[in-house]
Formats: sequence, C-alpha cells, structure tokens
Amino acid sequence: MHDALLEQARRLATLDTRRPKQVNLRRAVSAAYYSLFHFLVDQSCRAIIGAQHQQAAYRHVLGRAFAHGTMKKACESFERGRLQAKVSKGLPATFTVPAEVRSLARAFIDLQQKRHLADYDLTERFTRSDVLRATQEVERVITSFRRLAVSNEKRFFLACLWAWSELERR
Amino acid sequence: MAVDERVKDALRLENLSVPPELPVISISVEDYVDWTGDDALRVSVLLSEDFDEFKDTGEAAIKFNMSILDSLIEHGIELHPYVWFMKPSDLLPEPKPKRRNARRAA
Repeated sequence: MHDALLEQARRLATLDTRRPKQVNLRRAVSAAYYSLFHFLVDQSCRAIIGAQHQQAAYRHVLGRAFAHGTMKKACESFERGRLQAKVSKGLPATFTVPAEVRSLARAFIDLQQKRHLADYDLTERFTRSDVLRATQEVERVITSFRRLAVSNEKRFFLACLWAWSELERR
Repeated sequence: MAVDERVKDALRLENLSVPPELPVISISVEDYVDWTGDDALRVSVLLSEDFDEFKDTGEAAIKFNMSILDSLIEHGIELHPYVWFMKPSDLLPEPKPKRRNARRAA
C-alpha cells in the first residue's frame, strides 16, 4: 500500500511539465503522508500481532485503531531523542532513540501538518521543490527504518504509536 | 508576536550544519500553530534556483532538517519546526488563468 501511494505522490508532483497545478501538488502531499502513515501502521501491527501471512486479518483490524493525533504526539517525543519521565520510567538506563527513528518521527510530524493544509487550507500554496523533497524524504526515512535492525527500542517506538495516549496519561 | 531571540539564534545559518549539496541562500522563521493547536515554528528555507529537485535524493534535506531540530533543542526550544523549502521562482505570483470561451467585448 505505502509503495503505491509514494509512487502516486511522485507521479502527481511531476505530472505537469511546466508550472505544476496546485491540485496535483496537494494530492501529492496527501499521498506522500498516507504512504508514511500506512507504512508505520503496518510496521506497528507487525510488531504487536506478528508478521506472518495468516495474521494479516488481525493486523488489518488492529490498524483501524491508530489515530493521527496520537501518532503525532508519540513522534514529537521520539524526534527529540528523549522521552518524558512519565513514559520512560522503568526503561533501561541505556535506552536511546536510534537516529533512524528520530528522522522518521520528524518527517511524519512535518508531513502530517502539510497533509492537513493540502486537504483543507486553500490559502496555502505548495511548491514543486517542497513536494518533491517531501516524497524523497519519505522514501529515505522508510528505507533507513527498514534497514535498522530489530531492537527493543525500535519495537517500543512502534508500540508507542498505538499506545502513546495511555502511556502519557499514567 | 516577535519570534523568540533564542529561536532566531538557533536558526542562524552559521549555527546549522548545511550539507554542501543543499544550496541554502537564506532561512526565515515565524511563530506558528499547527492543526492540533500546538504552538510550533514555521521555517522557510530558500534554495538557489540552480537546485534540481528532480535529481535530489532527499538525504541532504533530512540532514538539514535534523540540524534545525538539534539546534533548537540545544537552545532550549521544544517547539516543532515545520520546514518548507522553496526556490526564488516559487515565490513569483501565480499567472492569472486564461478565461475559457470568453465572449469578445461588444
């Protein structure tokens, strides 16, 4: 799903040979954001449920529970590289946020805002430079995250995308 | 409202790590509120017109974005910087669309 959305974003951003139409840039931003969103939801569900083919139905049902705002809040902490005390309480003293997670979290927050503007704010003007850069950034952060070896820190980040609101409240 | 001096200082180009492949001309910042109502920063990065976005890999922009974030953290700023990249030609006004089937004035 996320690969197709990213490809769609690229095609829309480069569709017009000369001055790009705002409508194409806006849909490109939206597609790029949803590419990253669905990638993260899928990765998170794989970490929680499991990655086997016969577990797909469970992953897809759980995937409906992810909320954009909750994921943003989690990413805000992870992008800074340190979690607030009430969340990190009890984690090993050696806990650190991998650089790949930080840059992915940053890109997610950035693109979520731009997606909101693209879909709802007609006063915002999008530029091809920024939209193409955003699609490249999504591709890069996904690739880096995939290459990052499985670790407790990586799995914890993915679980936090789902559980952040509850963790923050306790 | 005027942008916090610490923010301005954090985002001075000399305080940031600019990758050589990213031709940054200037950077500007303003206070911002995002869609969730959180206070934030809106950072505009002006790139040289020579910058070819079609050949860009995104790697340099990621490094630069993280440099912006790290500099803000070092200066004690917790706000998220939303970063927009643009070239001088992006700032030109939109041409007015041609009217279709416009009737010739009598």
